Amino acid sequence: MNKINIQLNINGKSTQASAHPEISLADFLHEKLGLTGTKVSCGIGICKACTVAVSPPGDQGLQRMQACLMPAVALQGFNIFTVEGLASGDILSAQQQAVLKHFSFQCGYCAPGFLMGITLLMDQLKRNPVKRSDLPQVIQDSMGDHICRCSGYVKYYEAMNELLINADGLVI
Amino acid sequence: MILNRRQFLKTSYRTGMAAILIRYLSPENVFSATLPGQASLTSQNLAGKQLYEGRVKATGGKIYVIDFRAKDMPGWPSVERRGVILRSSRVDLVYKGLDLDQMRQQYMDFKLVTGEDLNRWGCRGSPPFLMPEFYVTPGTSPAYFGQPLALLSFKSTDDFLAVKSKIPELKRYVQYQGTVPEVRRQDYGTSQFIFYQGKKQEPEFSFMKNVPDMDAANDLSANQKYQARSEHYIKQIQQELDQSDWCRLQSTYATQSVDPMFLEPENGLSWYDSKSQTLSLVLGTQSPHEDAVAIDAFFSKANTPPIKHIIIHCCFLGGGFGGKDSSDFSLHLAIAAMAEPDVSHRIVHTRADQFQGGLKRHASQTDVSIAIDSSGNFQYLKSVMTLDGGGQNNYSFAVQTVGARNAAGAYHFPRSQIDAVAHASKNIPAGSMRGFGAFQSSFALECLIDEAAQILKIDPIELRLKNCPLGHAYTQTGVQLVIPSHAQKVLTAASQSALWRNRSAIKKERQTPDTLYGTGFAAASKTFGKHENGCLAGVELSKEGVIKLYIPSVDMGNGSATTLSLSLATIFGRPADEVEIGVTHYFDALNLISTEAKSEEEQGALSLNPFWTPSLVISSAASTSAYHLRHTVLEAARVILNFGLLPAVHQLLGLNGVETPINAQDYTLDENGFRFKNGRTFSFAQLASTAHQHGFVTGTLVHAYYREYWAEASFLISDKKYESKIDAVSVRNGSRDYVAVPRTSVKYSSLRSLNGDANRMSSYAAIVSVTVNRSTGEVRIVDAETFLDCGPLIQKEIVEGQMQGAFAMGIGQTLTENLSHDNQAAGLGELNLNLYKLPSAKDCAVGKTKFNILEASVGDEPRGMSEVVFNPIPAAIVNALADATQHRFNTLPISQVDVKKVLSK
Repeated sequence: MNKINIQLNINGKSTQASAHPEISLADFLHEKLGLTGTKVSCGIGICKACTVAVSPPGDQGLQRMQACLMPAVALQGFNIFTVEGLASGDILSAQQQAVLKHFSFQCGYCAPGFLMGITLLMDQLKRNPVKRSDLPQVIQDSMGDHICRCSGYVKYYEAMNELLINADGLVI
Repeated sequence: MILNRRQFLKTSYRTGMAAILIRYLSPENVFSATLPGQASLTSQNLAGKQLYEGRVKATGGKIYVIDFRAKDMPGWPSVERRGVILRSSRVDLVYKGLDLDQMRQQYMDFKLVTGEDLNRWGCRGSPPFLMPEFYVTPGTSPAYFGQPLALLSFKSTDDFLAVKSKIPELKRYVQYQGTVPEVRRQDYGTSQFIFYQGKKQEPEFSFMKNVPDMDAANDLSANQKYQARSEHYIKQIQQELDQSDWCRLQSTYATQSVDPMFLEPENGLSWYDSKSQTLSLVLGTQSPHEDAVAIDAFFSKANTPPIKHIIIHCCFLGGGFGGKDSSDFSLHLAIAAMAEPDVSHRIVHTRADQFQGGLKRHASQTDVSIAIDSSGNFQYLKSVMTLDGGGQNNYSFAVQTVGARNAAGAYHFPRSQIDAVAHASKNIPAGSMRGFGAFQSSFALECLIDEAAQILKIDPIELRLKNCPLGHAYTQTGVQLVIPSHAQKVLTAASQSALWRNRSAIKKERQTPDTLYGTGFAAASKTFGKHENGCLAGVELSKEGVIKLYIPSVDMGNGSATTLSLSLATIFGRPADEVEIGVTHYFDALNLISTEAKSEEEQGALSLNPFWTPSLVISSAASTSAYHLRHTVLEAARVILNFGLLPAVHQLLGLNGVETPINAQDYTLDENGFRFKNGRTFSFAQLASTAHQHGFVTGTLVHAYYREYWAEASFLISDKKYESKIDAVSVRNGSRDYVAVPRTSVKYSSLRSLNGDANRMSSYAAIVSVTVNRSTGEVRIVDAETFLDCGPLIQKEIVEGQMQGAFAMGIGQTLTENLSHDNQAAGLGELNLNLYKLPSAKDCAVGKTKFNILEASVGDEPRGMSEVVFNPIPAAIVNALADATQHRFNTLPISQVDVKKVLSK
């Protein structure tokens, strides 16, 4: 099968490469670009370790994407945000600082997926803030399908709760 | 005779000849520049109380094994073959071979290594846990689900990716024929422990007291005598039971096999360099040394090119839980490299591969009986546990005996008979997963005690409290604990919980016509660490005052690296700045040699050699950090304190050559450095620089050996006698090379203690409340509270994380996780997380569960806790379900369908 030329904007940088039509976004990031932060565990989109955020050309809002499933060539022209793009230089993002402060993970293999999940939730809440009383359920729903095997989910929950309450305009 | 892992390896097969080097694969040493788009990889120090490598993990910069490619490895051939392990999904038929013509049409070009190739090479030196054959040869029947059939090697990653989506269909080209008769294979291990208290304080008869010495392992009459006495006491116990009016209960409990489900599946790289005759591997393993020894043995008689050196480049693991301990995965990488030398090879398990080929937890069935007198005192325990070891004797020989030894937890039974057996089956091999047999045995007892409490109308915690002796109690094997049991302490704390005290009122409030509500309790006390352990640690101080810690074990999560570095604050007033894990080559400077002593006399003779030790190092295991490794790290640091830092203080005070001791009570060491009580201070950097300048000790490597207690030895360091609980030390003066210091005397415990258990125990208790939907049978964990005593805390958040992770794992074990061996889902290579349900946040009562860590008792020391915090969770849930449904579920997992069926009756 012939390879296809694709252009993606990854963490704000335009990237062009040729890829086999069936190659997943995760394999594309790993093998073609050396971006290994996005993790693969189940390979069928269940565990959410491979969560990335994407937005189609011209769209401002972020959408959840499981990089292990989605063929890279299907994302022609998309903006793709991975865990490597969360920090600004040496300055960690608020969500990264929160999970570190709370010791949310141990082995850390699930962390990139959780962090992108938090990023997606924050993006959603920016557009549609929630009531404080609804926040616990919103967090549970958001992190609900992510799998962590080392440290349970309590410290991710605590990190998200504190982060979202203290962030401007996400909780009303 | 019960063999420990080391003896098993030593006595089971001939070791090959390769020199083994284990080195930590530091991403900074490999990647010359930060990967494109990644945050800095260099922020891996341990300033403050951060999780080791937390920052790189949160930025996607953490490099796991799965992130390494051959091109990243300096000096490795950039050509990277991609391997796929093809495994058997039938165990009832004879393996005929592969339809290669069809395969080549479908999968482009690939190379193949088969069982016939391994036979042709003469790979016969495999350890017994890989028998009967590593790869099945055509004409024979696969011995177990997932037994490897062949290794396919694709020319490049691109070629592999082009057919990746079709890889799961490979099994269509495996051909089988005929049926095979059932063959009963030898059991992997058995244990029996008879205990009879008698009328004295010390046991009248116990395994530890009466089993023949190891010296007498071949003494038939001694063994027969022991057997005869065991039988006598079994009869005696039976007679007493028959004559008593004790309440007797019996039940059978079963637990299923589960997958460790670490998130990073097994994977790695390999390369055989024919020029240097070196086999190199990049691996995420809990047991690098044992992996290398197994590879060495496997090829020791082969006609493949000679392997003079084996280098294991060790990486951090994306989870382990015992499933990466002595896994055979490294052998596949070695086979790929030896089949095609001088190119690089990479194999990555998919999740379905991992389910089909990775080590599992032992499924169990335990018949348990107890007798309780009218005052509520336990009088008798009989526990007969059968474990399914699957197709390889991986760790079954050890798991069954550890399970048997911990079957009674911290409870005292004046009479007991505990039997365990691990048998061979055609299921996927089981290994050393978290809980290590103790979960299975204690699950049965904790459920039966709950039944007993119901029948006797005693509060379940009360009943347990009554039967947990305080202090340095004897276990049911006759080992006396060297630190007091704190089971009473956690039980008492649990009994005072509002969730427990008010459970009847809460039930009234929460139970509705649609929803049942119940609360259950279970406890666990498990020995931690190992009864024999060789530990290595190194501590170095740079000229600038940077503290670096070296440990040879491999971290499963990051608990070890973080807590061990923090432990150094006990000596230096601040934690390590840098840690390297999984390293062994640094420790060559100890000049240690290790051969097995088979008798006391031989041990005495061998220990005259100042560099001999009974055991060099044993693979990573849960719960060894807090006690064994911490001790070793602290002893290494103490050498630097005494022979590096304090002499530097002397020097700075102008007292060099003056015999004025600096007393510990006269100073403090903290983040700011050394401070005399009278106010004089020296910064850490000042002390380090002075130590380097004057050739004081600035680096030390130590070996400590534990068997019942720490071996103690004397050394002459800097012309001064130094006594310590280590048996080897090497020191670096200033910036010079390390020099091994010959010890002048040493005291090792008797070999007899090899029969014993770990003699330290930690305790945990859990209260769990559940709701059950009457119409659907859905079970939800709605509230929980747990109680841990782990001695003084080294790192609170890591301990909490272990408790919380184990809680989730316990929920999965009880309600959702099922390999369905007999239904072949995992064995067929078709299982994934769509069918194998792991608990997620919404299943774990997140935000409603309280994890209590009890205040350490005065004088206590840190206790291992990572296994004990898993063990009581399933029993607590089962007991809660019994409270809610008035039905006792005896078999795990308990599915929604199971519950619905019971409720519909």
